[in-house]
Amino acid sequence: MYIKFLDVLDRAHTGEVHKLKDWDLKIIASKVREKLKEHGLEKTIDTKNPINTDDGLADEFWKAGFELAVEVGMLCMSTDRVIRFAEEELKQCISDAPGEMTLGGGKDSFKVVTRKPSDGKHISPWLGAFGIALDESLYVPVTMANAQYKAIDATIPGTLKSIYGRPIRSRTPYETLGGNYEARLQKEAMKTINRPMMTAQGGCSAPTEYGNFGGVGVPGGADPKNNLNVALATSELKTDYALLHKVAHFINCETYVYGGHFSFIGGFAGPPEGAALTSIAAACLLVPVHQASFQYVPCLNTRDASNSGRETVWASSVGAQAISRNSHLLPGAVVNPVSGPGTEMLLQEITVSAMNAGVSGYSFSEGVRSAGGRYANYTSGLEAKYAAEVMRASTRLDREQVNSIVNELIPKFEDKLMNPPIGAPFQECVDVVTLQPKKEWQDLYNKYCKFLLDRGLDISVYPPSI
Amino acid sequence: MEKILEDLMNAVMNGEDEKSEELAKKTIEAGMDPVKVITETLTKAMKTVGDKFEKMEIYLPEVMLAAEAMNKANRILLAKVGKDKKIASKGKVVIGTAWGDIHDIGKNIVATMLTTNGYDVYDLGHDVPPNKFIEKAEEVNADIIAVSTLMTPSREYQRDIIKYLEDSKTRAKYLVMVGGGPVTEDWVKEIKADGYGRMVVHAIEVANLLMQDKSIQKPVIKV
Repeated sequence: MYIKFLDVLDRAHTGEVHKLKDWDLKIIASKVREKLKEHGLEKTIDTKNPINTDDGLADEFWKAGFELAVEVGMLCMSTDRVIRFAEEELKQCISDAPGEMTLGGGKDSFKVVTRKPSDGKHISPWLGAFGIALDESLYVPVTMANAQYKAIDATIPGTLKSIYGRPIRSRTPYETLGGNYEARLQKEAMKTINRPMMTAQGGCSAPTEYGNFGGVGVPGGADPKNNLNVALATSELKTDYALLHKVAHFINCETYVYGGHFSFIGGFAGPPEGAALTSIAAACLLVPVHQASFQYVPCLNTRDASNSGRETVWASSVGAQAISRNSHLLPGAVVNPVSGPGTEMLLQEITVSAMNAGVSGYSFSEGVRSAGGRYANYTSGLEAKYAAEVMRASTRLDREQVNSIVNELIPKFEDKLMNPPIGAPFQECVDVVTLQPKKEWQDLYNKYCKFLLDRGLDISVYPPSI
Repeated sequence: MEKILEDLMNAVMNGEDEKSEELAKKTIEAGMDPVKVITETLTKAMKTVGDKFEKMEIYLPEVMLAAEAMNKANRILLAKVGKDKKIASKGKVVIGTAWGDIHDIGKNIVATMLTTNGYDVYDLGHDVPPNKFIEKAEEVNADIIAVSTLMTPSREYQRDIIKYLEDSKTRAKYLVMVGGGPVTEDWVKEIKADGYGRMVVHAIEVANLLMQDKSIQKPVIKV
């Protein structure tokens, strides 16, 4: 890495001083507005075509997003100082970032590669019960229910609610112990499902650094070289010592860091164009600040917390296209539906988000945060399989084709995003012994496979993982 | 006279804090009733701002800057309000994101919208230990303690705050509202919170209902 982590820590101690409120309200808000205006990007959203089809627009977003990254930097909230890089430094960091990573092991080895929109290359699905709280008794079965599907390269097992019956409280020793316990449960699930070398995200239940200290790179914990070692920055363009501790821990474990950042439409970045811009800036800045080898940088809507509505799909698509067309970074999407398992709306939302991920040039995608992650155990595994298949099969489509499908689906659910159907929990959607979906849920899956097949997309056909 | 009020309203809506302060002083110099300026001009300005935000015509920074501008003008005007007159604040709210959680955008929006709706809001920020909520609530004699979280392991602190109030025999002093990604109706009932709104607009509605009728059946839940 061109910029060493110690240099980042030094800058977090010596950079320009900004109070958090000024950063959010004055620096981010005004600089985003300024960059949008300077590059003629204001009101460029095309809600009739949620998947951006204008390459020139994507390229202009890249220029503006990179400039934003250079001119603003990232705030360290623990020191109230800005970690900033000169233009040449940041360019060098991006140039030095990997354009390909091999993760997993044995038969579950897979590659994450640089992509371009509609390039037909593999998008790596890292799917499971992302952000969904799970009862201790269901942690292993739910993880197995997701990991059983070969379309998924790596799994995100969900958030463990308790350790031996005690609720896990963040920033306490419960979290430190919980991180290790969670990793052991994950390993048990992978071994039972016969994918012992499958990559997972150890530390799913780690809001702070403690879960990672206890759960990654220590006896019994996750193998840091085969783990999604996440350090998720705070919106917009902020980090702190808890996150930098995670990075330091992963460096000590001699492994890679997986960066992340959510950009919010309606938040400090303002309109969809602003969220797209901060997602690009985050992708650039996470390389040095969190020493990230790959990073997920999706956009979400503050109003309904979804990313399947027109505005969020557009912002995510133009952001991903900007990054993938102009760099060899490895950006990731997130499938974040607000409706729940067993509902038709969930499959509609997933189709939209996953097709966007596949066609817009994302290198991988996390998910599936069914029912917005609001309800414990509202996950089934089948939605992860469906998302993986849709995104993998969509990489070869052109963006106009995807728009025609997306435009058919979004009107079916967009008026329900504020009040979506929550569906049913794991036990009601899945036979907990066989881990197979119950008939009604499987029938809905089949219906949407056919829906896509009727429109020329066979989701059972896609490029291999490696 | 009307021009000063119109300028003040625009300054607040545009988030110009220094100008708002200056214009508030001018209304006093012009002999206007500070109570009327607050309850009519400033309230109207913030209602307009809130309505525009709900329609996504403006975004969070504009709303927060407008709230700051209103607070600056408010301070000047309140200093001139006679002791015999009272400005009706809807209530005092201590708000923050629970310990171990640095996600604060939802909390920021709710805090700002409570301000625009006439509440005195004490925003403790993010990653706030349970005892800090209680200390601040005692200090300002709060009506509502509002605890937000996005993370399940931080959600436990919503329960802990309520349990602490119960164990210290101070539960009756405060209304406790909870919110955030993993908060459900069942959770609200389980931890015996007083109110929960799934979306921002619901949270404001719940706060209003709780403050208007202290004997209302709890929890008040809007989804």
